Amino acid sequence: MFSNTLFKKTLKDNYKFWLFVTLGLSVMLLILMMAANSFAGRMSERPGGSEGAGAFGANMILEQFYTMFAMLLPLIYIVITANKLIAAQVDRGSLSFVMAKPLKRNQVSMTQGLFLSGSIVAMFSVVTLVGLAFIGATGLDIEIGAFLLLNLGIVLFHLAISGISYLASCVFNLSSKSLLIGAGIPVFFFIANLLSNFSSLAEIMGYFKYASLNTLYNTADILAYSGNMIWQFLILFAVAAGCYAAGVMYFKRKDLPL
Amino acid sequence: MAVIQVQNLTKDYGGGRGVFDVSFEIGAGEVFGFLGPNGAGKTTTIRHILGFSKPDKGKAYISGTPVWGNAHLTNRDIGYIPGEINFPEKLKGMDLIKWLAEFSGAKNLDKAKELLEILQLKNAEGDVKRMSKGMKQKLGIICAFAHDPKILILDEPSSGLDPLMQDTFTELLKREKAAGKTILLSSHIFSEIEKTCERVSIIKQGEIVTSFHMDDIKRPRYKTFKVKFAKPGESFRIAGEKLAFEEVNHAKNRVKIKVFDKDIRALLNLLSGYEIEYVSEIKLTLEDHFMKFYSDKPSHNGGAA
Repeated sequence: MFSNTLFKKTLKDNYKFWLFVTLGLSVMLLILMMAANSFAGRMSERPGGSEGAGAFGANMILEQFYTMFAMLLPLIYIVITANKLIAAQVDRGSLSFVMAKPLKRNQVSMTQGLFLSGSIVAMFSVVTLVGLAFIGATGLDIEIGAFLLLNLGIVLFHLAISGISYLASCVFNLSSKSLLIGAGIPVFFFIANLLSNFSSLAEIMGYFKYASLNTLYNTADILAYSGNMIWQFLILFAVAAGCYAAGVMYFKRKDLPL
Repeated sequence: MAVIQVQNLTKDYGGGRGVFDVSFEIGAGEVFGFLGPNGAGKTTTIRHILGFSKPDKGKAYISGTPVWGNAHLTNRDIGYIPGEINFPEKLKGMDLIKWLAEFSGAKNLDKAKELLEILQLKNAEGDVKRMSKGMKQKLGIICAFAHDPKILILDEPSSGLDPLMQDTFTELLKREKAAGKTILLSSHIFSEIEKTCERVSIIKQGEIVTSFHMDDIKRPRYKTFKVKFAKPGESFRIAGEKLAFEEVNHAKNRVKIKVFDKDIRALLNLLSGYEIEYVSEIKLTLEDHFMKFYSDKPSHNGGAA
């Protein structure tokens, strides 16, 4: 259910963008952690400075990172790459060379799907290791457990998002349509989540949280080790698994206009 | 058993587009010509042979195995040139050849190297994106032939090649044919089909309108002669004879006579009694045959598309 030959080419075509986003995220995390570190340093030097202030600052910065940068940068990578992996190649017609080879449909779709999901896991593995290295080196007051859970959660969140983009890429024969759905839905989720923060202004805004997957990645719940986290993670995982499986099944049966 | 078999294949895209009840068989080592204008359904048929499309009705088979759902088996021995060549991006020519051959488990690239020579494709090391139409076509040909497949599915393989290169390609096809390959050649170029194919089917608006052996075109059992008379009124006189006239033109004092080879002597004897300006043979070409089906017959589908 996998093609090495296809994977090699997919890797070659996409590693640069992956590297760019992964390095960008890592650098941003480092900068934020350095800021948190110097903030904690100043707090402890202050006479009568509270013990918890450093940890509070670090958590704020982590929330900032995981709700903004770690949300948006990979989102761009995901929607563009998911479209490139299948729909764009069907649209261009270049997939005909691969499809004329003795490959199962599933081999093609699963190889591409494994690349997409694997690249997200790899991306945050790098980010996590960079973060852990910084924490280890500086003794920044961040709970390792919470930090790991934040990363696990964001991976599950992006797997769910990439599942939607991947499904769109498997279903549509035109890049334009694949992008409309595969990028449109994740962007809508992001905006709906922003709007739901304005529930204090109008009650109706609060309902937007039900229209967004982003709500299921709740950094406050994670940092508080809330039990909500468990079902939130499970739903994200189910969405991811469901979308990837649906993409593979649809691609197996569809007509390819190559 | 037929190597390629298309049986009652129907794929209706709506609006009269698609293929309707298309059937043909290609035996081992046979070269089969698939002739038809743009949009007639050649590529649609080929899509089913490669397993890209699911038939509405009917089936396509490779060596007895239904293609749909089994393309990983049926594509094993196939080399394919798409009608419209769009290569995967970011590859150099030689890397593309290697990469595609790898899918077929071919490590030996001698054939590809030989073809680079024959087709005079220079700087195959260059980026595919910067190649001209002709170069891309040559590269497409090499990619299809490189793993030395037993079956070749060629969708307008020589489009974009200059006439000299088209001849070179025809020679290449003859060589593959001599090597026992089974070839489906979809083409507009009559000379290419005339020189290589044993059997031809003409497809029009999604339906096969006629199928014939190339020998019947090249060496028909009858011939058609144009006879122009020197003496006025002779056309009236000959019109009284028991002959198969294709045309009698009194104004030009000229007739066209169809005659079986065995009756040629009788015709010559008869003509010796007339004063003749000239006699010439009208050769039947594939093109004439094709045009006959394209111009004479009104369409079944009311000319959609």
